[in-house]
Amino acid sequence: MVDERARKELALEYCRRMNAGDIDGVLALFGADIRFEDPVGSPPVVGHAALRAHLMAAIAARVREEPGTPVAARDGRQVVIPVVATLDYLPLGPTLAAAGLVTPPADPGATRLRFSLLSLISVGPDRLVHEVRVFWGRTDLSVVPAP
Amino acid sequence: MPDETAIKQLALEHCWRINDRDIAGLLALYDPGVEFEDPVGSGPRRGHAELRAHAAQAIAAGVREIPGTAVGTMDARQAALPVTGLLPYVPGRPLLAALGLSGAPADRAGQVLVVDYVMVVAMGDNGLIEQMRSYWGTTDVRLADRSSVPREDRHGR
Repeated sequence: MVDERARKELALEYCRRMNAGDIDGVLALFGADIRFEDPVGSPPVVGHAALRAHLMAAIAARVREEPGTPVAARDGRQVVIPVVATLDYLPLGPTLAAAGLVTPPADPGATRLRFSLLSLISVGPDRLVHEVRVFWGRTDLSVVPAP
Repeated sequence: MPDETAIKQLALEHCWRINDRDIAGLLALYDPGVEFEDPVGSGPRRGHAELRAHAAQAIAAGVREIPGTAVGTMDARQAALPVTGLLPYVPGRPLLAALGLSGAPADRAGQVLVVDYVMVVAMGDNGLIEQMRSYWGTTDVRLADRSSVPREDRHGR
Protein backbone atom coordinates (compact mmCIF):
# COMPACT_ATOMS: atom_id res chain seq x y z
CA MET A 1 0.00 0.00 0.00
CA VAL A 2 1.31 3.41 -0.96
CA ASP A 3 -0.47 6.44 0.45
CA GLU A 4 -2.43 8.67 -1.87
CA ARG A 5 -0.17 11.70 -1.66
CA ALA A 6 2.93 9.65 -2.45
CA ARG A 7 1.23 8.19 -5.51
CA LYS A 8 0.18 11.63 -6.73
CA GLU A 9 3.66 12.99 -6.18
CA LEU A 10 5.10 10.10 -8.18
CA ALA A 11 2.82 10.93 -11.12
CA LEU A 12 3.80 14.60 -11.00
CA GLU A 13 7.49 13.74 -10.66
CA TYR A 14 7.27 11.68 -13.82
CA CYS A 15 6.07 14.78 -15.70
CA ARG A 16 8.83 16.94 -14.18
CA ARG A 17 11.57 14.49 -15.16
CA MET A 18 10.20 14.08 -18.67
CA ASN A 19 10.18 17.86 -19.06
CA ALA A 20 13.78 17.96 -17.83
CA GLY A 21 14.80 15.33 -20.37
CA ASP A 22 16.11 13.21 -17.51
CA ILE A 23 15.59 9.73 -18.96
CA ASP A 24 17.61 7.98 -16.25
CA GLY A 25 15.60 9.81 -13.62
CA VAL A 26 12.37 8.85 -15.35
CA LEU A 27 13.34 5.17 -15.55
CA ALA A 28 14.27 5.20 -11.87
CA LEU A 29 10.56 5.67 -11.15
CA PHE A 30 9.66 2.38 -12.84
CA GLY A 31 10.00 -1.24 -11.83
CA ALA A 32 12.04 -3.55 -14.07
CA ASP A 33 8.80 -5.27 -15.13
CA ILE A 34 7.10 -2.05 -16.23
CA ARG A 35 4.23 -2.51 -18.68
CA PHE A 36 3.55 0.76 -20.50
CA GLU A 37 0.53 0.82 -22.83
CA ASP A 38 0.62 4.04 -24.86
CA PRO A 39 -2.04 4.46 -26.10
CA VAL A 40 -4.51 2.00 -24.59
CA GLY A 41 -5.34 -0.46 -27.34
CA SER A 42 -1.80 -0.67 -28.71
CA PRO A 43 0.82 -3.33 -27.90
CA PRO A 44 2.43 -2.47 -24.54
CA VAL A 45 6.07 -1.54 -24.08
CA VAL A 46 7.56 -3.90 -21.48
CA GLY A 47 10.76 -3.48 -19.46
CA HIS A 48 13.27 -0.68 -18.95
CA ALA A 49 15.14 -1.00 -22.24
CA ALA A 50 12.01 -0.82 -24.37
CA LEU A 51 10.59 1.98 -22.26
CA ARG A 52 13.81 3.96 -22.57
CA ALA A 53 13.54 3.83 -26.35
CA HIS A 54 9.85 4.75 -26.24
CA LEU A 55 10.32 7.75 -23.96
CA MET A 56 13.53 8.94 -25.59
CA ALA A 57 11.58 9.43 -28.80
CA ALA A 58 9.37 11.92 -26.95
CA ILE A 59 12.28 13.59 -25.16
CA ALA A 60 14.17 13.96 -28.44
CA ALA A 61 11.11 15.75 -29.80
CA ARG A 62 11.26 18.19 -26.84
CA VAL A 63 8.17 16.87 -25.12
CA ARG A 64 6.43 19.18 -22.68
CA GLU A 65 3.99 17.57 -20.24
CA GLU A 66 1.50 19.86 -18.50
CA PRO A 67 -0.16 17.88 -15.72
CA GLY A 68 -3.66 18.50 -14.46
CA THR A 69 -4.92 17.49 -11.03
CA PRO A 70 -4.06 13.87 -10.17
CA VAL A 71 -6.63 11.74 -8.33
CA ALA A 72 -6.08 8.56 -6.37
CA ALA A 73 -7.94 5.31 -5.88
CA ARG A 74 -8.82 3.70 -2.56
CA ASP A 75 -6.96 0.54 -3.42
CA GLY A 76 -3.59 1.75 -2.15
CA ARG A 77 -2.17 1.23 -5.62
CA GLN A 78 -3.47 3.42 -8.42
CA VAL A 79 -3.34 7.09 -9.39
CA VAL A 80 -4.76 8.87 -12.42
CA ILE A 81 -3.39 12.07 -13.93
CA PRO A 82 -4.62 14.12 -16.89
CA VAL A 83 -1.84 15.60 -19.01
CA VAL A 84 -1.59 17.80 -22.06
CA ALA A 85 1.60 16.77 -23.84
CA THR A 86 3.12 18.66 -26.74
CA LEU A 87 6.16 17.71 -28.77
CA ASP A 88 7.76 18.66 -32.06
CA TYR A 89 5.95 17.33 -35.12
CA LEU A 90 9.23 15.91 -36.36
CA PRO A 91 10.29 13.18 -36.32
CA LEU A 92 7.18 11.31 -35.07
CA GLY A 93 4.49 13.21 -36.97
CA PRO A 94 4.88 11.61 -40.41
CA THR A 95 4.33 8.15 -38.91
CA LEU A 96 1.14 9.36 -37.25
CA ALA A 97 0.07 11.04 -40.49
CA ALA A 98 0.71 7.84 -42.45
CA ALA A 99 -1.60 6.05 -40.01
CA GLY A 100 -4.28 8.65 -40.69
CA LEU A 101 -4.14 10.08 -37.18
CA VAL A 102 -3.20 13.64 -38.16
CA THR A 103 -3.21 15.75 -41.29
CA PRO A 104 0.34 16.59 -42.40
CA PRO A 105 1.02 20.27 -41.79
CA ALA A 106 2.32 22.61 -44.46
CA ASP A 107 5.38 23.44 -42.39
CA PRO A 108 6.34 20.38 -40.31
CA GLY A 109 9.31 22.18 -38.80
CA ALA A 110 7.12 24.87 -37.29
CA THR A 111 4.44 22.70 -35.74
CA ARG A 112 3.95 20.57 -32.66
CA LEU A 113 1.83 17.55 -31.87
CA ARG A 114 -0.64 18.03 -29.04
CA PHE A 115 -1.97 15.06 -27.08
CA SER A 116 -4.77 15.38 -24.55
CA LEU A 117 -4.24 12.25 -22.49
CA LEU A 118 -4.88 10.64 -19.16
CA SER A 119 -2.50 8.19 -17.52
CA LEU A 120 -3.71 5.40 -15.23
CA ILE A 121 -0.71 4.44 -13.13
CA SER A 122 -0.25 1.44 -10.84
CA VAL A 123 2.30 1.75 -8.03
CA GLY A 124 3.74 -1.23 -6.18
CA PRO A 125 4.63 -1.56 -2.49
CA ASP A 126 8.20 -0.77 -3.56
CA ARG A 127 6.90 2.71 -4.54
CA LEU A 128 7.82 2.07 -8.16
CA VAL A 129 5.50 2.26 -11.13
CA HIS A 130 4.69 -1.17 -12.56
CA GLU A 131 1.98 -0.37 -15.05
CA VAL A 132 0.90 2.70 -17.03
CA ARG A 133 -2.12 2.80 -19.31
CA VAL A 134 -2.24 6.01 -21.36
CA PHE A 135 -5.69 6.95 -22.60
CA TRP A 136 -5.77 8.90 -25.84
CA GLY A 137 -7.42 8.30 -29.16
CA ARG A 138 -7.39 9.81 -32.60
CA THR A 139 -9.78 12.55 -31.49
CA ASP A 140 -7.35 13.61 -28.74
CA LEU A 141 -4.44 14.35 -31.05
CA SER A 142 -3.96 17.54 -33.02
CA VAL A 143 -1.29 19.56 -34.80
CA VAL A 144 -0.66 23.01 -33.38
CA PRO A 145 1.72 25.86 -34.28
CA ALA A 146 5.04 25.86 -32.45
CA PRO A 147 5.18 28.74 -29.97
CA MET B 1 -16.70 -0.07 -36.10
CA PRO B 2 -16.76 1.55 -32.63
CA ASP B 3 -16.91 5.32 -32.61
CA GLU B 4 -14.53 7.16 -30.29
CA THR B 5 -16.88 10.11 -29.94
CA ALA B 6 -19.74 7.79 -28.98
CA ILE B 7 -17.99 6.43 -25.90
CA LYS B 8 -16.94 9.94 -24.88
CA GLN B 9 -20.54 11.06 -25.25
CA LEU B 10 -21.74 8.24 -23.02
CA ALA B 11 -19.43 9.41 -20.25
CA LEU B 12 -20.62 13.01 -20.60
CA GLU B 13 -24.26 11.91 -20.66
CA HIS B 14 -23.68 10.13 -17.36
CA CYS B 15 -22.88 13.49 -15.75
CA TRP B 16 -25.71 15.37 -17.41
CA ARG B 17 -28.33 12.78 -16.48
CA ILE B 18 -27.12 12.79 -12.88
CA ASN B 19 -27.51 16.56 -12.92
CA ASP B 20 -31.00 16.17 -14.41
CA ARG B 21 -31.82 13.70 -11.59
CA ASP B 22 -32.83 11.34 -14.40
CA ILE B 23 -32.11 7.88 -13.01
CA ALA B 24 -34.04 6.06 -15.75
CA GLY B 25 -32.10 8.00 -18.36
CA LEU B 26 -28.86 7.23 -16.57
CA LEU B 27 -29.59 3.49 -16.48
CA ALA B 28 -30.41 3.60 -20.19
CA LEU B 29 -26.73 4.37 -20.82
CA TYR B 30 -25.66 1.15 -19.10
CA ASP B 31 -25.76 -2.50 -20.08
CA PRO B 32 -28.03 -4.46 -17.68
CA GLY B 33 -24.99 -6.50 -16.64
CA VAL B 34 -22.77 -3.49 -16.02
CA GLU B 35 -19.92 -3.87 -13.55
CA PHE B 36 -19.07 -0.69 -11.69
CA GLU B 37 -16.80 0.36 -8.84
CA ASP B 38 -17.11 3.74 -7.16
CA PRO B 39 -14.61 4.46 -5.78
CA VAL B 40 -12.03 2.03 -7.09
CA GLY B 41 -10.95 0.01 -4.07
CA SER B 42 -14.45 -0.26 -2.60
CA GLY B 43 -15.21 -3.46 -4.52
CA PRO B 44 -17.12 -3.99 -7.76
CA ARG B 45 -20.90 -4.10 -7.98
CA ARG B 46 -23.01 -5.37 -10.80
CA GLY B 47 -26.29 -4.70 -12.56
CA HIS B 48 -28.92 -2.02 -12.96
CA ALA B 49 -30.48 -2.49 -9.53
CA GLU B 50 -27.18 -1.85 -7.77
CA LEU B 51 -26.41 1.08 -10.04
CA ARG B 52 -29.86 2.56 -9.47
CA ALA B 53 -29.37 2.42 -5.71
CA HIS B 54 -25.91 3.98 -5.99
CA ALA B 55 -27.06 6.79 -8.27
CA ALA B 56 -30.17 7.47 -6.21
CA GLN B 57 -27.99 7.92 -3.13
CA ALA B 58 -25.79 10.45 -4.92
CA ILE B 59 -28.77 12.34 -6.35
CA ALA B 60 -30.48 12.41 -2.96
CA ALA B 61 -27.30 13.92 -1.53
CA GLY B 62 -27.65 16.75 -4.06
CA VAL B 63 -24.65 15.97 -6.22
CA ARG B 64 -23.89 18.08 -9.29
CA GLU B 65 -21.24 16.94 -11.74
CA ILE B 66 -19.03 19.18 -13.86
CA PRO B 67 -17.27 17.16 -16.54
CA GLY B 68 -13.88 18.10 -17.93
CA THR B 69 -12.39 16.92 -21.22
CA ALA B 70 -12.94 13.27 -22.10
CA VAL B 71 -10.21 11.26 -23.79
CA GLY B 72 -10.61 8.04 -25.73
CA THR B 73 -8.54 5.05 -26.75
CA MET B 74 -7.32 3.64 -30.04
CA ASP B 75 -9.79 0.76 -29.85
CA ALA B 76 -12.62 3.30 -29.36
CA ARG B 77 -13.99 1.05 -26.62
CA GLN B 78 -12.99 3.08 -23.59
CA ALA B 79 -12.98 6.67 -22.41
CA ALA B 80 -11.72 8.52 -19.37
CA LEU B 81 -13.35 11.68 -18.08
CA PRO B 82 -12.17 13.98 -15.27
CA VAL B 83 -15.14 15.23 -13.27
CA THR B 84 -15.63 17.69 -10.43
CA GLY B 85 -18.48 16.59 -8.22
CA LEU B 86 -20.15 19.14 -5.95
CA LEU B 87 -22.25 18.30 -2.91
CA PRO B 88 -24.04 20.52 -0.41
CA TYR B 89 -22.17 20.50 2.88
CA VAL B 90 -24.38 19.36 5.73
CA PRO B 91 -22.42 18.96 8.98
CA GLY B 92 -22.79 15.61 10.68
CA ARG B 93 -24.35 13.74 7.79
CA PRO B 94 -23.22 10.10 7.47
CA LEU B 95 -22.02 10.81 3.97
CA LEU B 96 -19.08 12.75 5.38
CA ALA B 97 -17.59 9.65 6.96
CA ALA B 98 -17.91 7.79 3.67
CA LEU B 99 -16.04 10.62 1.98
CA GLY B 100 -13.30 10.57 4.59
CA LEU B 101 -14.39 13.85 6.19
CA SER B 102 -15.83 12.55 9.44
CA GLY B 103 -13.79 15.11 11.36
CA ALA B 104 -15.07 18.09 9.37
CA PRO B 105 -16.18 21.03 11.49
CA ALA B 106 -19.83 21.88 12.03
CA ASP B 107 -19.64 25.60 11.28
CA ARG B 108 -18.94 25.68 7.57
CA ALA B 109 -21.91 27.67 6.31
CA GLY B 110 -21.69 28.59 2.65
CA GLN B 111 -19.33 25.74 1.84
CA VAL B 112 -19.64 22.83 -0.53
CA LEU B 113 -17.98 19.45 -0.73
CA VAL B 114 -15.81 19.07 -3.81
CA VAL B 115 -14.84 15.62 -5.07
CA ASP B 116 -12.36 15.44 -7.93
CA TYR B 117 -12.55 12.11 -9.70
CA VAL B 118 -11.88 10.39 -12.99
CA MET B 119 -14.49 8.10 -14.51
CA VAL B 120 -13.26 5.36 -16.84
CA VAL B 121 -15.92 3.62 -18.92
CA ALA B 122 -15.85 0.72 -21.37
CA MET B 123 -18.48 0.27 -24.07
CA GLY B 124 -19.84 -3.05 -25.29
CA ASP B 125 -20.95 -4.10 -28.76
CA ASN B 126 -24.47 -2.84 -28.02
CA GLY B 127 -23.19 0.71 -27.55
CA LEU B 128 -23.88 0.70 -23.82
CA ILE B 129 -21.49 1.06 -20.91
CA GLU B 130 -20.53 -2.37 -19.65
CA GLN B 131 -17.90 -1.27 -17.13
CA MET B 132 -17.45 1.91 -15.11
CA ARG B 133 -14.72 2.72 -12.64
CA SER B 134 -14.57 5.91 -10.63
CA TYR B 135 -11.16 6.91 -9.28
CA TRP B 136 -11.04 9.12 -6.20
CA GLY B 137 -9.48 8.89 -2.78
CA THR B 138 -9.78 10.64 0.53
CA THR B 139 -7.27 13.27 -0.64
CA ASP B 140 -9.59 14.17 -3.52
CA VAL B 141 -12.38 15.42 -1.27
CA ARG B 142 -12.29 18.94 0.14
CA LEU B 143 -14.43 21.72 1.43
CA ALA B 144 -14.57 24.90 -0.63
CA ASP B 145 -16.41 28.20 -0.58
CA ARG B 146 -19.54 27.96 -2.68
CA SER B 147 -18.46 31.12 -4.51
CA SER B 148 -15.15 29.56 -5.56
CA VAL B 149 -16.53 26.62 -7.52
CA PRO B 150 -18.13 26.64 -10.97
CA ARG B 151 -21.87 27.23 -10.96
CA GLU B 152 -22.63 25.96 -14.44
CA ASP B 153 -22.01 22.53 -15.83
CA ARG B 154 -21.24 21.96 -19.50
CA HIS B 155 -24.71 20.80 -20.28
CA GLY B 156 -24.37 21.78 -23.91
CA ARG B 157 -28.04 21.41 -24.68
